Amino acid sequence: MASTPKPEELAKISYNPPERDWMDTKPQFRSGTWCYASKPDSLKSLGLPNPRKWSPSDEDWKLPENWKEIIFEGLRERLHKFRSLRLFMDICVRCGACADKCHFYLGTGDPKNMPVLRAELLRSVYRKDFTMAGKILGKFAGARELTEDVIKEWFYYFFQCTECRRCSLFCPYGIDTAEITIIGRELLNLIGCNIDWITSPAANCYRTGNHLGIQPHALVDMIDFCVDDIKEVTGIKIEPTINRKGAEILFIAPSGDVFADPGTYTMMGYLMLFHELGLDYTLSTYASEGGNFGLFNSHEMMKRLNSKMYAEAERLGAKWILGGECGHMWRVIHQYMDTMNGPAGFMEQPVSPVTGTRFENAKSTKMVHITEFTSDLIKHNAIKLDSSRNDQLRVTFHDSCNVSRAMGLIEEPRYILNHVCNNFFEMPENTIKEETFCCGSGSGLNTDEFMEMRMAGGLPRANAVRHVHDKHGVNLLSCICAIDRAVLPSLMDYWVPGVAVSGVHELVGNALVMRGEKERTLDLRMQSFE
Amino acid sequence: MHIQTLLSDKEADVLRKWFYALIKQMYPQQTGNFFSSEKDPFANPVGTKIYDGLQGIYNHLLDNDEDDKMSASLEDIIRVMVVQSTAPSQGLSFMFSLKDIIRNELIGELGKDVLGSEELIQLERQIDGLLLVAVDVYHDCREKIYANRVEEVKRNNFRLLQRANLID
Ligand code: SF4
Ligand code: SF4
Repeated sequence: MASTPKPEELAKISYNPPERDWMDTKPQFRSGTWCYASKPDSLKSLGLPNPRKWSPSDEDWKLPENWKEIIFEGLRERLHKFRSLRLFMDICVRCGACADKCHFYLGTGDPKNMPVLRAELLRSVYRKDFTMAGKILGKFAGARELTEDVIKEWFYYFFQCTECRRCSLFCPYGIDTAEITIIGRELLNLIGCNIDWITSPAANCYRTGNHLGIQPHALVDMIDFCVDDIKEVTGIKIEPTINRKGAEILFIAPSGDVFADPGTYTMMGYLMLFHELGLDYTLSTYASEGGNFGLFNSHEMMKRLNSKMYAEAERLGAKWILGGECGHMWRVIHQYMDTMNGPAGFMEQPVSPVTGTRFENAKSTKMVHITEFTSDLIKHNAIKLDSSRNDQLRVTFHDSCNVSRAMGLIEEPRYILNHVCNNFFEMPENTIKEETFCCGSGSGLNTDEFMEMRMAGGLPRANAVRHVHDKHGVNLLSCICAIDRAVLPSLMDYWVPGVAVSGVHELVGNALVMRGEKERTLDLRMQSFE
Repeated sequence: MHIQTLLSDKEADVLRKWFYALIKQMYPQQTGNFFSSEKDPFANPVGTKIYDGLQGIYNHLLDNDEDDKMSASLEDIIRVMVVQSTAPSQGLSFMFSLKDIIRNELIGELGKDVLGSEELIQLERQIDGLLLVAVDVYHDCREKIYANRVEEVKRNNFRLLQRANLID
């Protein structure tokens, strides 16, 4: 009999490369773990540098000749412009509190997905050329030379961070690695190293107003599909207006709700609610995108795409803007819009025409989140709801990083859910609210070629859903983000089959009792309520 | 003493060794330490999934359970391996260490003669069979990834397809 190794010997066999210093380990561009490069046309239409055909798996990335200079100059400029960046570069004490808080680290086990090491990718270059200790001591002070391999590593790991900010919650100094990733991506942009799933939607949005580049007439057709489906379910023909001047409210949803399943059901929910309230609102084919892929590109691009919301509100003469269930759209509105493109003096502080509630929090941006609006309606008994229509559903709620962590919108969606359905179950404390786990696909990484990495990064989220699925029979994961609605079905299918995904206003639409409706037997997905 | 009973008594030891062998094969040291020490399943989904999966496989093996129970436990681990490594040779390598760990446990208790026992030969055959089931599970998980890629693209373009009369 052939001799087999003893377990002790076996345990010594390593399938990994030998432990080396992290600086000397190069990333392997294994398929499923990186996104395709930007198409030259998209870069050209946004006026971004170095448009060319290339792939991250190529040896030669065709960088501009003076790429090093560009990066150093870009870093210098940003260190000067953002005091937070300078601070984040200097004050990390490497305590490790953030290390095991990132979903990509938890899902992959790759040490460079620890937030502290992700930041170190940039910090090591900063140290080498921007600090005295680094200039003199080099590697001993954690400093390193900027080489093409470093650029490749930045690309690999800055596009493996969803800018979710979970790590920042645990850092005693409040270092926000998402901000470091944002700057890292900006620098990569300067030499044309960006991903197509971000630049093409940004280019489309810049040109036509939404990520998919849907033209106005096509958008109207899609709204019509929604109207037809509502008629079939309720017997009521609603008539949303589009590009109507003089409407009190401009409603802006993420475009995913117009064209992507299951977002379309959420769109139906919004429109049914507005009809029932008799709201004086309009949709727009120009501001047809709440989402802002510019945020994943650069501060400048974010500002450019965001400005169209105010521009359109001003053109139409709207008093205020109501915004749909979107994630990063709200991060931009909450944290950047007012100082970037505001103040929007031509609008008024939002007041609910139904309840009279003044939205103090929206005084400056003039934009109200739909869950704030609807929970206020429920609080004032302004709509009639039959929550038993959602009795076949056992619901849990995923807090999207941007709305929960970045803007503190935590109770409103729960308040609504508790009024529109009777079986609601929370996931474990350390996976929800501020501590929520990212879907694994945010910040423009929701592309299909990145599926393996998305499934690994989404594992901590899925694992908590699995828990409530096993324990309480949960069969629906609700959320208030269009990227979530696009990506969580795949995540569930892989880790927790049998759990569907919906927006909160889809469930509102199911429960909403409308004047003149026929006897309701179908939910918004045209499935029987039984 | 029956090998089966002995191995049941030794469950904790065998599982610990098997778990550490897997962790050591798959992850850098620092990660391995974390995956094997953090006990909260929500703070450490990979470590807990792997441990629970190994435990399930081991118990089903000793209880001679049918294939679908076994597949469920194998899936717990293999789903993780599929998204962490492309090559099945790496993702499934954990299956190989079990035989050696069992042999060494038995030799320690019963001496070298145990190697000739019919019961052990039978058990090892079962483990070989398991590896084949594991290959199927690995294949299914990879197929799921590709199927999901296609389905997602369709979902994301639902209304566009509808508008082009490509779906109802
Ligand atoms: S928690 Fe903050 S200070 Fe500690 S290692 Fe992470 S970033 Fe650095
Ligand atoms: S922001 Fe999120 S994805 Fe990025 S390092 Fe922190 S926890 Fe990870």
